[in-house]
Amino acid sequence: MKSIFERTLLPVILCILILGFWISPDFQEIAAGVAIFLFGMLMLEDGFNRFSGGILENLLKRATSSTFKSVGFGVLSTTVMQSSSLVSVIAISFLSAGLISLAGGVGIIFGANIGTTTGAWLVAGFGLKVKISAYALPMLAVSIVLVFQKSNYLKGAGFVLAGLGFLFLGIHHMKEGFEAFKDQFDLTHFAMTGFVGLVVYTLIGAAATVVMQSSHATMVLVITALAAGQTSYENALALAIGANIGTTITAIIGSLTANYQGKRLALAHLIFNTVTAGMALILISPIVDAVDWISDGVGIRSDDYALKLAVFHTIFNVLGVVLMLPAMNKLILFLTRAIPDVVPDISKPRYINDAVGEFPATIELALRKEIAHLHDNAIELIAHALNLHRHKLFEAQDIEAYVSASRKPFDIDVDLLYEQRIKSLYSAILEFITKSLASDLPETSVKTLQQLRRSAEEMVRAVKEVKHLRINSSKFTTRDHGEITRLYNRLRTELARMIVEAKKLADADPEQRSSLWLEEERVRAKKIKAELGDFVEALMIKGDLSGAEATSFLNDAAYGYRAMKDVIDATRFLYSEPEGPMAEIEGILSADEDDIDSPESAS
Amino acid sequence: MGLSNIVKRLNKYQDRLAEGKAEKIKSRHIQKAIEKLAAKEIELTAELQDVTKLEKRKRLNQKISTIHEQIEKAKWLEKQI
Repeated sequence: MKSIFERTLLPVILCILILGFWISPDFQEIAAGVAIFLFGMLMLEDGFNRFSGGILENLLKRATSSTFKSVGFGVLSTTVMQSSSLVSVIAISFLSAGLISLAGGVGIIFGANIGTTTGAWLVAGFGLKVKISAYALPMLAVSIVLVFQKSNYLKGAGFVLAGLGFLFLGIHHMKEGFEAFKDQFDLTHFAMTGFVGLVVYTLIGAAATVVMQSSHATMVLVITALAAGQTSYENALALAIGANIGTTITAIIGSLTANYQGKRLALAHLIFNTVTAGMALILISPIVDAVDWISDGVGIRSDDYALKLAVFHTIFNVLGVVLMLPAMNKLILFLTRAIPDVVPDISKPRYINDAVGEFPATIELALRKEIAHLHDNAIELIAHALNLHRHKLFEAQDIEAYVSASRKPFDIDVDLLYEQRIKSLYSAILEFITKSLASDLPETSVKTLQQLRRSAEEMVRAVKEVKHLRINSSKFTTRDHGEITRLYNRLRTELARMIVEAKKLADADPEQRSSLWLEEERVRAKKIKAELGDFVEALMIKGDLSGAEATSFLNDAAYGYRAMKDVIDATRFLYSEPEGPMAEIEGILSADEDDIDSPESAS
Repeated sequence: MGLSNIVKRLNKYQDRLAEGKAEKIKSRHIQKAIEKLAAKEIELTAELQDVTKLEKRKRLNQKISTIHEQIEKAKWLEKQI
């Protein structure tokens, strides 16, 4: 069914356009106006995306601490960006990345519905009253100068200005098109009255919004048509209601690749807009009376239907929020029941998905969480491969004693667990990073992603190193074989200590931790390698270790040393500052490989 | 306190700063870095109080010493900046 719809939609739209162009050249101007308007919205989105990674995300994080703030943020951001769809998609993206709560996301959606009404005011109150194209052309000329600047923020400002310029230009062409069109055709012949008219035009408004993916574009089209007398006021009201239903499609499409939280928010959007539209249809007469009363009160002419439509649009959206706010807790309860939490599968990505892959801050945050998840799986597997219980290890007061006492071999298939819990997750992380790097990310985000990729690589390598030493480690530590047992226990102990130190850094307050805390472990890993080599040599001279045992152990010690280094480096890369002055300080103060090779020179 | 490699890294940073490829380190940034290191030093020193095993005391002392050296290097860096 879906594929038939997808296959037929494009030819149908193209046929309608060609037929329209053939029947009336003025239709071309209206269609071009819509196209320019939508292009402007794309440029606005692109412009605001360039501000993400800083301003937008910080605002969103702070603005969702209470319902009132979330609604306010939804109103404000939609007013500024002139796109409730963009705000909804951002909210889904942030919710999927775990940056905001479901209640915060629902509040934003409620607010976005009020914010979107400012578009109707802008067009009806300003766009139709002045020669809007006179503003559009200078805006476009200035915008292109900004777009060619180096600074990402100036570029963003250029795209936003160009977006607004194209919006204005689109409105101008729609207005001109309808003015000329009315001389040839009178679309009011198709006007329908009564209940049937309400339903039919609501469906048309919804369908137009689904096709254009913008309720704002539908509203502008309706307002300009209304101003040119090409649609009746009654039908325009129904079209506006339909636009509110149709706009949910963008959020639904955006949530298809989101996690369960993103899907809940898209469902909340659908429920809210459908309930609001239903309520507007049922209460259409009293709302229209209220529009007349308010219009009289604020001095809107009784025949200025474009402005009256803006009043109607505002009233029914505000009314929807007022009615739904008290039921918000019940709505959230319903959403959590309708789309239950997914039982976490540790082998699958929990945080990275296509829905978070639109904004630098959500990409980084989701990736950090996912790599921490990979680290968690890897540390568990490393501990089990060494026949250690991870939680007992973290609680142990005397790590050496705990390791020596841990003699029982774990009945696990390390290769299978590596495939299931490490490799699949690592592949998903690499795929996500590659896809993100291919998009137009700011340079700072690119560096962060590269550093995070190294973190994942190092930790996966640590697991592989431990896989190699597991056979002999288990063989010589489940029973006492003399000195060789003590050597393997020493190796296991040192590796266990590194894991514990990595865990301490991971658990520390993010505002207080520093990757410099692991400097001693970096130097220590190198020292252990040298110390074990000397120790093995001494045991061989004394005759306490055979040549075969010594060779096996030294091979495994090399794996162990590399695993220690990998665990520490993976942790440093995940938790150190990737950019900025703090990163510079850590870079200057931390030892490089030369320092570690000759620790004396570093101290 | 051997500083030859740290001086090299500082020189490289200053070159990148002059080329506009690095952000300027200010005194407050170094103070923040020192604060983080000092917090760890305090935590390790407190941990040391309860440790009786000689080998563990030695390791903790070594870690405290490394952290302390980092703090000294940070102070030195502050003077250079």
